[in-house]
Amino acid sequence: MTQPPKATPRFKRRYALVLLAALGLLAAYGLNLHWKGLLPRGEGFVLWKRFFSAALSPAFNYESTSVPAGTPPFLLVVFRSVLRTLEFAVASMGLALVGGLILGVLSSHSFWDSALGQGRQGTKLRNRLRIFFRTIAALLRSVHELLWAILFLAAIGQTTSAGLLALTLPFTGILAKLFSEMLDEAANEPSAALEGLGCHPGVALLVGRLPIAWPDMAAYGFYRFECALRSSAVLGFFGFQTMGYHLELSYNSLHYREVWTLLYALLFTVWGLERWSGILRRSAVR
Amino acid sequence: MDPVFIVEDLGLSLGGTEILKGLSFTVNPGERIAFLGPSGAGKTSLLRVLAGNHQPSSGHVHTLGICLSELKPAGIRRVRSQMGFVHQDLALVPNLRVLQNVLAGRLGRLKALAALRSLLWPNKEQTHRVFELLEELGIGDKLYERTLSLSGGEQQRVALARALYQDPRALLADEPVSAVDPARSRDLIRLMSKVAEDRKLPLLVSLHNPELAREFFPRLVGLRQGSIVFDLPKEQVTDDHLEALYRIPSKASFPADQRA
Repeated sequence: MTQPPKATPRFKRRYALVLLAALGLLAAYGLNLHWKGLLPRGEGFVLWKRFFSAALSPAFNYESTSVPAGTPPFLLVVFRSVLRTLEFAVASMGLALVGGLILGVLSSHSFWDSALGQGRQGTKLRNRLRIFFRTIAALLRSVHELLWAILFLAAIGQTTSAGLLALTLPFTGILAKLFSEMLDEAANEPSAALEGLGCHPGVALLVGRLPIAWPDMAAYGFYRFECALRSSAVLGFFGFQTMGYHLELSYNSLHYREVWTLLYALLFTVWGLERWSGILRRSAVR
Repeated sequence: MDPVFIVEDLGLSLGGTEILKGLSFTVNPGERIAFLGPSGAGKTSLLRVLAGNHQPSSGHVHTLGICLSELKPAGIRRVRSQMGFVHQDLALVPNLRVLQNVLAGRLGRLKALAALRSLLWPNKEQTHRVFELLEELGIGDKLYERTLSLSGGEQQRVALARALYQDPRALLADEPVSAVDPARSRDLIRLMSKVAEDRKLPLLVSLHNPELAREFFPRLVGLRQGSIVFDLPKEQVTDDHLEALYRIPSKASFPADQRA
């Protein structure tokens, strides 16, 4: 009887898994992690209990009894901070979508392999240009939005544009990377067929490739919008009038019920966005 | 009338592999030819050369009286725009409407901006022309459907409509029926033959099914390992011809790595 062919064992993958597990244990050791330490005890536990029991009774009014006259009602402040947070998120995502799309196309293989013709000369230059744009995208996203915020606060002070740029730049880099990959992963045949009937390569990219990648790009864009919303809220900790600003105020005054109102408002906003994007995506697929 | 294609001693190598060698034949206006042969015989490559998508490595191809190898890129684009091509995988953009997929057929004739405008905001005339074509192919009611919601057979008609909307000088199809059942295959080949005959277009189709080829094509060309084995009127093609064409070589004389 003939023997079945032997499968080549995938040792590399196995070793990688063992290595990862070992690294995890090493990190826990390095951090001096004890299981007991993960649960709050003593004074910490009291605080913990106070904070989480406030979750059941979020504030509808200021917890402090001595509010100066003329202060707007608490719920109105919460509502305004939600709006502010949304404004930052929408504006920065709008800019990041445009920037990410342009930078994404410029750092994709599908653009450089087609748009400048298939001639042999210039292959090196095309490759260099693609890597150049990819590097820009990588640099933009390698700095976290909160670090960008610190940079811009130092450079131009606490202005709206500082906050906007801090969110826009890293998101542009992330979107560019994802968009370029989605473009390159889209089926080749339709755009190749369009070039085959004499179509301009740039048009073939826009008509034969972009629409195929579009649903994924839209879905990812919405997910990023959700991230932008959270980051925009956190921007408040740097003094911008988003939800983080009021979270910090309430938290520092130990007004945990106010904190929970703000957290619920954030949760509700993200949930609403998620629902809305879900509806949009379903109608786009149909 | 002048021939549509004159192929003289055509050779094609891609990435160091010889795909076609020493092919010579002539295609006259209105002729319907089926290319037969085993997988990897070079049928697809031959059609792609005729459509201006591959440059011949040796020999000459004259398309509509123009020598392909003497053309500059702009000239090649023009030749491509005049060759209606139905791809094996159809190569439609799945999430665009049928209308837009068909309109895309004429993108090769327009400058970039005009091309985009014609897709995004087609005028009444263009839309009506597409509708007429789809009506002729029996799917007029699908004009505004998303292409991926159509059945396989309907999508083939969209691909055919796109090729016809090019207002081509020849209709080429690369194994257009490899993905559907025999009844639908026959239906589509009959439809293709009819629209080609009505327009007096030459029709060049690569097929896997000799019966279908014999039924609808007056001239059959057999390809094997990049060469023409026979080029005969269908009446003269015998079962022996076909048997020799598709015979699987024994392992000793034909190592697996040489089958393209």
